[in-house]
Amino acid sequence: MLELDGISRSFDGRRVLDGISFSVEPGRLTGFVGSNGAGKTTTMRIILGVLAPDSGAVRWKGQTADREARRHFGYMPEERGLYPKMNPLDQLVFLARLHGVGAAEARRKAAELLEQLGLGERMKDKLESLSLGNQQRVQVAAALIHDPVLLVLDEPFSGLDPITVDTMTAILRTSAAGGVPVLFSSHQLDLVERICDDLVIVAGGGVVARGTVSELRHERAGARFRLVLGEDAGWLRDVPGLEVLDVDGRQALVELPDVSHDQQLLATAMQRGAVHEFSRVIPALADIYREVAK
Amino acid sequence: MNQSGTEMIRLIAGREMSTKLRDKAFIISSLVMLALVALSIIIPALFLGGDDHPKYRLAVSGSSAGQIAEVARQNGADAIKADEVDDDNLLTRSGETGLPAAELTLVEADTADAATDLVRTESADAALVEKADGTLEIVGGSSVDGDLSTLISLSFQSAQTQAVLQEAGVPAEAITALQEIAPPSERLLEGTSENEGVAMVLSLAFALLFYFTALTFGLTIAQSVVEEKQSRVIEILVAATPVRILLAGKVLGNGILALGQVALLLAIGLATASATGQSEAAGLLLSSGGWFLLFFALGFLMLACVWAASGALAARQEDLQSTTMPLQLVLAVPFFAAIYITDPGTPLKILSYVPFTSPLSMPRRLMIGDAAWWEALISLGIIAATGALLITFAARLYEGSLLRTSTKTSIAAAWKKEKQPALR
Repeated sequence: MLELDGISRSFDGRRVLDGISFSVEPGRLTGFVGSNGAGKTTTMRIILGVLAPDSGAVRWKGQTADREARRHFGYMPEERGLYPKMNPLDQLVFLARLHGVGAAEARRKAAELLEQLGLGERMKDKLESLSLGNQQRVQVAAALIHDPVLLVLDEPFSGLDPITVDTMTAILRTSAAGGVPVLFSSHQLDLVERICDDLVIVAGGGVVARGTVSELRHERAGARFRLVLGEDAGWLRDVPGLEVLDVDGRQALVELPDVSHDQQLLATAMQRGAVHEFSRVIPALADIYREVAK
Repeated sequence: MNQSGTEMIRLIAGREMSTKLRDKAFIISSLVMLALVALSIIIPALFLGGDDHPKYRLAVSGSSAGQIAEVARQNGADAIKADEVDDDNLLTRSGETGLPAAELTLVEADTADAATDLVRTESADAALVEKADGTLEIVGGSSVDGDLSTLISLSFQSAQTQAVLQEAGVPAEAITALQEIAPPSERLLEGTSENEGVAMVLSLAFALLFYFTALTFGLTIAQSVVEEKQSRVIEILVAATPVRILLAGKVLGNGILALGQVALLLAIGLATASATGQSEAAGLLLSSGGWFLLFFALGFLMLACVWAASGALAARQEDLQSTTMPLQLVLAVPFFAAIYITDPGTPLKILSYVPFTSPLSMPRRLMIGDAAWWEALISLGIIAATGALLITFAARLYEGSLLRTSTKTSIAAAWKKEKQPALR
């Protein structure tokens, strides 16, 4: 398990991170969400040791993460790039060996990984001659080549075509299924909602929300209900204490003063006629995000 | 999976080298350089006729002239053989016979006039004719070459001596023994003028070699650093490797290649010089090439980290022009100093201890016998000490600017001691 404990960091007197704390559990995909400049990249660089925090600690399996522990982390930086004039195979073998993998094993693993990613025939071409999508795949391979014990990916989905998004999702899922904690940042909230197990939202240099995706959504679900009635729903406007957000013919969106009043509202509606639908509205991640990141 | 720093350095150095060795432009330019070195030695040799033994056509008339000419031809040929054996010993010249080495071709003429005509029509370089009174005469055009006349005169004298001794009843063995007594050989304390010329050319060759190789590989280091910054692969590398190990690997990889190239060029020079019979050049190369290599290696290492730092200060390849400018100037100084200050004296002595110029000036002094080996060691020590200082300085600049990928970094900003560089 990866733990961040009170990480702070300033640049030229400007505090970018202010006591960031969260953890990434083994076998779970953790989404890391926040607006531009919220400190996601800085946090990830601190996890990888590319940057040092001013205060706070990064712990791996309960121990402060040192260089040796970090060498087994896998990292895909936000600013992509590998050696443009090297072929994917040599590139991956070199990176694997830098991470301590033996020569023969590195070669085998690199070929296998490139094969899996559909780059088997291009593995000896110069990287710069590959399409952007294929270069992205090599970049993913670079993060996975040494069988990392932790995966940290900064915006892994940005700039990917839909097919590659699916490939990337599958890769992250496979890694997580193998018991590896996976942390990735993204702006694509629908995607994050779809594939994440856990979520960390940062704003203003601190963590403003964290938990499993469904926990967060239910916690943040208010007393908002949607009704579809047999007749015109206009009468709802006259119910005391009920805030009507929207009425459109037989449909309505209302907010109760408290969620415990739901049975009372349902009973009233049923007295007036047919009730086809009565459901609590669980906010989408994007709504929660907008709310907490204000 | 534990891995030591040296293994990582080796890995990084290996990548630098294999990338460079697969670079077509590098291979081609290296081959061109090799060819240039070989040609620059072969072509003058071709114009000089390869071996330095003169060839003469000697017209002969009269039987006694014929005998003497034959003895002279034999002596000249013997001297050539002796010279070839002697070639290993640079500063000793034709010790065995004391006769000039020359290849004589004899042309028989029926009369003295016919022989003289051959000289007049330049069909022969000279003629040896028997005059009416029985004495011999060497006939030349506007002049008779010194070597030729010496060869003939000495051969004549020795033949005469032999005849006189034989008449006096001296046993044949004694006469042979007498002729085999070696005349005084020559030993030169300060080299011949010919050697000085070769030393001058060699110094110039070293200067060119040092300048171009140090510049090429220095720029390669800087480019390789910018490539990693510009392509952003640097962040992955830094996550896996301590920055100083990265620096060490880079410097080592390119240093080995630079040294290898210089050694290869010297070897080619040596091989072509020996193959074309330019023994003076080959001998000097052999005796001074080792020193030059040593000075080159240390001199290159001294500046290599500074090259890396100058690469790290740049954000794009285009920035290199300005960030490497000071280094390019620093390299040009020893180059021009080595060209203009070549004679023994205080200026050369000073240059041979200044760390930037000493890699060229000290080997020059050693070559012309102006410095002792311990002076070279002191000079090497000064380079090493300067190198240690520069490496510390450059490593800090490298660390301080490596991750600033967006814009060119100023030296002051890179120097500023932060816990770790700011990433933007």
